[in-house]
Amino acid sequence: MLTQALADLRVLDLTHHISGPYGSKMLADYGANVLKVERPNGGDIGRNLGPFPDDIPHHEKSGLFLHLNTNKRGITLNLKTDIGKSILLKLVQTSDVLIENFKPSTLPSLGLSYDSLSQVNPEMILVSISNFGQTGPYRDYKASEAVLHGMGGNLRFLGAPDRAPTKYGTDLALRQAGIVSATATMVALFAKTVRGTGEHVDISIFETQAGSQDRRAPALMASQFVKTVFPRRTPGAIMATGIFPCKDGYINITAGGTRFELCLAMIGRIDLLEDSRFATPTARQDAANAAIFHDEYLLPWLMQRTMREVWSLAQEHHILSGPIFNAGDVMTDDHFGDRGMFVEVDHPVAGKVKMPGRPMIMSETPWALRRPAPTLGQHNHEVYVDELGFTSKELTELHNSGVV
Amino acid sequence: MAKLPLEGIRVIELTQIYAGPYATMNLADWGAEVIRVENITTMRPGTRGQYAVVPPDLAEQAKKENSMLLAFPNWDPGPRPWNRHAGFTSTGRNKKSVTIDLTKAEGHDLLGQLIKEADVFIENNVPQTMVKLDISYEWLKEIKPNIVMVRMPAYGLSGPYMNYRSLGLHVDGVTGLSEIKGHPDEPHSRRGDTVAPDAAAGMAAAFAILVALWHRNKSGDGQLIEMALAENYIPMLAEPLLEFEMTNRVPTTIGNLDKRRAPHGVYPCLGDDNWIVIAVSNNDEWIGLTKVMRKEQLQNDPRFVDSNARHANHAELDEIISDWSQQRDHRELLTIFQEHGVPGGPVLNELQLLEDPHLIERKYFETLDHQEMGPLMYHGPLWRMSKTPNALRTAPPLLGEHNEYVYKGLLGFDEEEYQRLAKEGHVGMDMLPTVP
Repeated sequence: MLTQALADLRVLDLTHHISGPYGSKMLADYGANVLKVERPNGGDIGRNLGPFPDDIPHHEKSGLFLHLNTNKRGITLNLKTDIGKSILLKLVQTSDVLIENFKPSTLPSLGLSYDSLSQVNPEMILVSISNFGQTGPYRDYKASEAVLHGMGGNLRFLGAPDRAPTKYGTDLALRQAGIVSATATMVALFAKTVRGTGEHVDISIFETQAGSQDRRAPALMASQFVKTVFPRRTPGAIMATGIFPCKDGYINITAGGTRFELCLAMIGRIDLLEDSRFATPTARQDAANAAIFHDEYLLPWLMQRTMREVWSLAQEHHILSGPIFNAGDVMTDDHFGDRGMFVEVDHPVAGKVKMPGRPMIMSETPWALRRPAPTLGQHNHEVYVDELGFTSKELTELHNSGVV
Repeated sequence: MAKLPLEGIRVIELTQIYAGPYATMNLADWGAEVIRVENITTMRPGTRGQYAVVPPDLAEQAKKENSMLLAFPNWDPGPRPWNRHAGFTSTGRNKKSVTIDLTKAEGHDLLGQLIKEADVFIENNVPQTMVKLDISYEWLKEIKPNIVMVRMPAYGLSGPYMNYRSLGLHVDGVTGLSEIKGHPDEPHSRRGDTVAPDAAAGMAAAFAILVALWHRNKSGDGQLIEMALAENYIPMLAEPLLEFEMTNRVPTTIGNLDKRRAPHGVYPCLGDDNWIVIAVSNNDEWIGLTKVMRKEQLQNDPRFVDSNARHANHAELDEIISDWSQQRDHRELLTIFQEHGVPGGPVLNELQLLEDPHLIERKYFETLDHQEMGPLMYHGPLWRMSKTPNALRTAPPLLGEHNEYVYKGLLGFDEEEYQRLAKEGHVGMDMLPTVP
């Protein structure tokens, strides 16, 4: 029988878009019984964001949504109605965790602050993810992936020094906050085991960036050391280090400093170690010498080889490296494919979709695909009638009055 | 202070550079006892710095060139540069350090004795290195049957890339992020890279460890967690990967644009390398922005009348915004934007972040005093818990700072044996003089 570590957890999931759903997905994928609550009209905004099969928008076929919501059951509930709130409180009674990523003012304005929720179930943990946290002067500020990455994170280091720095190409800051929320949930569960009661977990995406998604923290320390800030790195300034073109693409190589000999061995020019321009760590630190090495020795060698050839040779010489693959390369790569990185999800409306599966392999309590992402309100009958004891007629009334 | 939630959990780490140390930092922050196993006979480049002895002319040049990789307090590596390294400093708080020479047979045995006292063992080395050190899950399990072991190679414990050496920035390329990032008119060699896979895997490893301990507490069983940097990152890239899968189109970079909405970008401000991010997602926010810019006439401009039009004409719009933003202070704009309901905020550099009023109000940074670096500000735990007050406890450990605690306190060695271990090259607080 399949053993999943979190099968004993009941999670009430009020999240939407990316950060919260990614966090509750991690809990669900490792076994938690996650009940996703969506608003009746349209549901999670993620349903409206693509990609869609053949670019045809359909609220049950969003690739983003289908991936972020695997293994969750789904109901609809209008939290702005009194009946909706009372139903939510019923669900709170039997939940171990409630996870949400509304604006900090939303739950209190609905009369669902932590204090009122904890009166109903003092053992429940409330996990809140927000842009800037539940307190502080920026609490209600509007932000986005790029704004939070820019303020808290490493955005300013990405790119060349003579251009504007650039954001990540997908919503990594939001997803990182999602992972943080899954970890924080576990810590709060351990705390509950000790203390016996739940509590309110406050996750600020701004702070998860500052401490630190993309090595922001090392730069924070280094800047304090020398009371200055560091520029974006000039491409090609460090010998044998950077992204270089090759015959059919690009490869990222890190073979400077103490590792430089490895690079010379790879290109068959160990004799250059005698060359005063390349002989010492200090000479290698010189940007002009780096340019000479790249133009005269490294690039001509690289341009005769494909990125996969270079990568394989580099690894034979123990050189830190990696080619620049595109999405197609990744989805069709044998290494990842053979290791079972991708799964095929069979969804009642979207059909079969191949998507990324487990983030890690747990030997005794594995990742498992138990169910595809829910269609909007898919589990209304199961939850309202079978579990909460409403009659089918009452459910129809709830539906007609816009609660469900 | 009240008991922290992870108190009583002991973690032994054999981790390098960032991904592994970041995982355990998050456990140490919440009370786990994390002991780093280090070595005075070799220096793995990157973890506690690049060099045990920094050539003086190199240190001088680093200062001249403002090189972050070789930044030490006041640009001075000092006699023990391994205790003054920025990367190590950023993940080292709340941890302990013991030195064992794992290349010697006795070192292997000492590690085994330590594992007997542990709940979790975590490493992020290339699998070959672990074979060389003769450390495996099977061995750990013999010593401590319910151990949780975490292994974090770049590409996993099987398959053609198993022993490939990569840091986060290489994984960034291999998993497809580099392809969709950076200015589209630039070649890859000028787009830069990120090391985002490291902290992502580090945080996910902390999650996985807690999940495994949750299971152990119920079942009594430990397990092996295989956390390949690349494989944790691939689900984070689901959107571009599914775009390929669902449309057969290979996504490329769109720079600082958003897929659907405009204006969206990083715009120049007053001063050197100061920028503001603007992320307008609807008409109300657009109207707010025109008011901030005092260019209300743009509201009626057919080129910018709705999201689609603004997206189609973004180049002209970006130029208008840049001309205006260049005259403005990026940090002042934050408040003004928010008063007008515009999602926007400054790109903060490290010194600006340290003095950010919101983070100060939330007491995000905490000061710890360090024997060889003095007081420094460290970012706090990554989240708050309303009934579990928390603060950073100890500064990053000096190399071997907790040798006595581990050898005498945990493993029960007496002074004589301890001195012998020092002579044999296990115990020490200085890298051997022969280490480069």
